Amino acid sequence: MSVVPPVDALFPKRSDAGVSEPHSRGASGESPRKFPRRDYLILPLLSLSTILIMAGIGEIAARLLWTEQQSNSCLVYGSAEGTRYKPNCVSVTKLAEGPWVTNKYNECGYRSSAPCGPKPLGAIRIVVLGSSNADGFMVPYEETFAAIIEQTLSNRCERSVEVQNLGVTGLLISGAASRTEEALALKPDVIFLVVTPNDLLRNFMNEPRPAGGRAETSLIDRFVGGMEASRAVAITRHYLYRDQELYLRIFLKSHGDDADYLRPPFTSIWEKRFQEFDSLLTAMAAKAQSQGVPLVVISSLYRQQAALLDAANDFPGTDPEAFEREISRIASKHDVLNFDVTGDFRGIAHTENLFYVANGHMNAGGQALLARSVVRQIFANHVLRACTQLSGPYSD
Amino acid sequence: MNTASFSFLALALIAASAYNAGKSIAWRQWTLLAASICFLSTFSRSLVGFLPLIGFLVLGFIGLRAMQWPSTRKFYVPFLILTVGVFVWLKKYTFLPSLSFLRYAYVTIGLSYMLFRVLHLLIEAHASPSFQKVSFVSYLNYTLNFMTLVSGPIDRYEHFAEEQLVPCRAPLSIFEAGEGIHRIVVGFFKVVVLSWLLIGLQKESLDALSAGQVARMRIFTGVAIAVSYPLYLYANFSGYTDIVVGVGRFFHFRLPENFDRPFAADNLMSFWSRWHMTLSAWLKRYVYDPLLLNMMRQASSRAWEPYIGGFALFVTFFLVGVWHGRTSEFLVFGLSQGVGVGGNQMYQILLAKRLGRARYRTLTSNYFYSQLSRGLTFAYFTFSLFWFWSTWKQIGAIGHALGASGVLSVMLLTFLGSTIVLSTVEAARNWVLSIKRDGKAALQRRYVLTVVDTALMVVSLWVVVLLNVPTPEIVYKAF
Repeated sequence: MSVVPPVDALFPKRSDAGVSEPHSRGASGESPRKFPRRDYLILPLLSLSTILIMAGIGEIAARLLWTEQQSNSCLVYGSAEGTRYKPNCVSVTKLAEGPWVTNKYNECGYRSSAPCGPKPLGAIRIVVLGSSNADGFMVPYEETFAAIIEQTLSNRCERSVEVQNLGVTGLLISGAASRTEEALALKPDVIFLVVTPNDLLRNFMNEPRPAGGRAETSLIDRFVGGMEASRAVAITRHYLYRDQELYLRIFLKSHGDDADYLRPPFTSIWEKRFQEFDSLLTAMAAKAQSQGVPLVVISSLYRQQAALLDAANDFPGTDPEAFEREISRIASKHDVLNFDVTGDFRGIAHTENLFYVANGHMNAGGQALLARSVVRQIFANHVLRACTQLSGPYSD
Repeated sequence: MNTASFSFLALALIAASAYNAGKSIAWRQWTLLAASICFLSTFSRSLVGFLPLIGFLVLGFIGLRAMQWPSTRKFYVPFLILTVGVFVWLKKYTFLPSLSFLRYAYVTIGLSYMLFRVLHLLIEAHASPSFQKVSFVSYLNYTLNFMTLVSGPIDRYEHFAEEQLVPCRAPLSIFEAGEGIHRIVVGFFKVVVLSWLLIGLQKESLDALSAGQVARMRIFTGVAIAVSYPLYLYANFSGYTDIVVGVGRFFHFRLPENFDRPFAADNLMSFWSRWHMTLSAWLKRYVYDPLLLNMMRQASSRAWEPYIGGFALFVTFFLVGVWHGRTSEFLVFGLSQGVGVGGNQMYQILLAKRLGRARYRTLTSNYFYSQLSRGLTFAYFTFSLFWFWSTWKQIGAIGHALGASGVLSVMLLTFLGSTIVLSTVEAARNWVLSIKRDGKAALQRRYVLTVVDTALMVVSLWVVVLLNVPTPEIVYKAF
């Protein structure tokens, strides 16, 4: 009696045909094979429900894994011009894609380590005006451009340099302009006005939207608004937008008027925004010049501008420097110095590393580069004469 | 073009639409050929790069025709040798002098699978004068079919022709379309999500492994390195097969299956009857059967039969291993498979002789014996795969980092761990399938499958489109 296992057991069944049984669903008894008409409705609905449930689970998981605290408890919302931080206040904020940040405000409600009282003897005082980029949105204080230039200049100038940062996230350009007198009361050696495209854009939120714009209360807008608030979407964007080209393609396609400052010639609405900025700057420059305080405009960047600096050729009709040029032209009209920081963001291999990828604001890396650019131009333009005379030419 | 890509699916969709739009056989043949040429053209921009492949196919067709003409059938063996020789030369096997190789880059994608198909045609045409006439277009469609070009499955020509050369066919049913979509979705998930995660785990573990690690962590890292690869290979290759089988449904093709839950196997022979099944079937027919028959005829005593069977298995599975690559590592991989399967056969025979048939059956049907055998089978395959995915240098580095006791610990832990995990998986699977409604497993009902497929699709799209993860290459594309 042979105990050799049957040879056929060693190999796949039906190997001669090279065919196995059909897949379970096809073969396992749809008998007789009749597709109920109701399934034409039930199956798509099941599919849709699955997607919605997964989206819900994804949202909950994203909220648990990527915590966020965007609202700043120190921020006092008043009228647009009156938005400011509470004096002697401490708050904690966090972007889903960023670190926890402790915000401390001095007795005047400025994000500064130095007190806002009378300027210490022999010290250099710099005042910063602007919105989120000036404020150092979601960046730890020591890593904000204001704190870095304070530290760098203190070392370079061999004397005390302090920065009183009046920047407030969400402040409109008109709000920043309205604080000129408050800034001048601090007896600064220089005032930096940090301007971003959004500051101009948001200043005119109540203006009529361009043709093709939707009523803001439409269902689509509500849905889009809901998606904007989704943490899962934010995190997905964080990963998705790491691809610079894809990010730009999506940004330029999905942003109309908001992105038109990248597409010269400017639309009439953008022309109007620049005119408004022009008149605000006229008033600011007059006040500053009357007290002999230099006013410097710094046109800061968002991620889309930085990304386009080296990719504009791939996106015909775009010009990432158009906004900066226009701001510079307006500044020079009023003998106001303009610091061009775009050059320092050009030629960087991965500019996405300098910004919060999905949010678009500068992260600590971007703030550091902004600070380096500003310090370089302070020395190049002899803005702080007392300091530059002592230290000589500046180099990185 | 990667099989697990949207461009491949787009090509398949266009080709299937055109294929099903016409009713004549000629229309279907030319449509399929056009799709296959489109697919093939994505692998090189230069026509010269395709010349060796074209030459190989032309040689195969001449051989096939020669086998079907009485006056040239005598050249059977020379044609077989020439076909295999040209294949070995084009694949640049290292035992050939490198000076003999072509000095420019050319396409060899799917060449191994073409060899199996061409040999199948040559052998069958020679063996049977009644073997059907194969036109050049049918021959090209059989050897170049874009669904099976890269890594099989290896279909038999008779079956292929039966499905393609049918004059009249019913339109694609919603069931066929549903089956196709299900397989494609599952395949995509396996390739783009599972194999991405598993190869990532292995790479991370390889980076982490060092002699400086805490001993316990080092052992776990070693286990992760070893175990992640067979799971990755399975997800990658079976995922590819799922995709092409699914795409085939839209062409009314029922491509042969290549996998049948291989890790459920409780011995190596059973494993190879569940892993790369069409290759095993091909080798049974054209290597194992003729070899066994020949040796049996020459054997002087029936007592030799079991040993002859073991030897024939050794040769067959040694060839399976060696076929995978051209370096000495694959020689060891082939030896390990040959020794494993042949040894498995010998062990069964000797144990059955020693215990007697009844006690042997009692032993093999014992639950714990069966589970331990399953764990051992997995562990053996896992460690034999080291010569599949790594080099001597890398194996040396891993061995050095783990040390002799570390290697033994990793082996033991892999064996015990896989025994527990695989038996748990089997038990869970049986339990899930036991949940029935209207006599059918609940998990296989179309409502449940719709939910599962949608979930898999969402995860796959999230990984590929939103996370922008590059799709892993199909491992067997290289063979």
